[in-house]
Amino acid sequence: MEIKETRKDAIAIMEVSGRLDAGTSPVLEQKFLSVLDRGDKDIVIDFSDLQYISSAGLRILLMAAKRTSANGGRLALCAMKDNIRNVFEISGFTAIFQIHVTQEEAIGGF
Amino acid sequence: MLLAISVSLWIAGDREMIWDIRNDLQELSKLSEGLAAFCKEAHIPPTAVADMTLALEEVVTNIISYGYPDGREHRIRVRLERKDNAIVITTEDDGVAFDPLAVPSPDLDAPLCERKIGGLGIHLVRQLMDTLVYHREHGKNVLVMTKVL
Repeated sequence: MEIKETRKDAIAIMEVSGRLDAGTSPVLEQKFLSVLDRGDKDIVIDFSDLQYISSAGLRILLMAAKRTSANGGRLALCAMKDNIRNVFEISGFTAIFQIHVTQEEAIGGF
Repeated sequence: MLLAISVSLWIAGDREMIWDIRNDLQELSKLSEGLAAFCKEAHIPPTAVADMTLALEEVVTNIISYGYPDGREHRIRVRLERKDNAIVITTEDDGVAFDPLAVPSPDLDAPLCERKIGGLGIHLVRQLMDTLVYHREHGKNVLVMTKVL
């Protein structure tokens, strides 16, 4: 898994690629917490190049949504492949996350 | 091609594959590569392969994460069998007794602030596979999962 950070005005963007599983999700957790620590509030996570997610990855995203919300910020996800979206649906996660088709749409949604 | 995987593995015929992995999360990617190779040979549809990969990984992640409080190295056996209309995946581990089917389902309708972190993995396994059978046998946990094709 790799995480590329970019920025659009005040919005922090994290592009996550590869596999988000029990072995790699602690890396995303650390990265996400460091983004919050430096004061970012609104965050977009872009899944364009994410191939795979397991419950360990979902767990980090749930933590991220709770932390962002408690921090007075917003979290949006975008560009999920069908297999990733399917995992979100059967976990009931589509009801608790802002999910957009493209990164532009996610940024525009704030 | 299958034999290139660097874990203990053998092919017991072209409709069955068995391999032993270490209780290390780094083994997860090998597991999905092995399953992908087996399914490719057996011409399994990609959506079924994706479902089985995630289910197997959830089960093995649980075993590795919670099964071995002794912190020592153990082997987890995974068997794949191609039946006429299904794939049967069996995991066998000598970790602490754990029946994943006894784990309560998470409340999927709870709002964000009340959503619990745990229980999601087993929930996914239940949703992705068609039948699950657990038993404890000779000091081992045996879980048999079937995916109907």
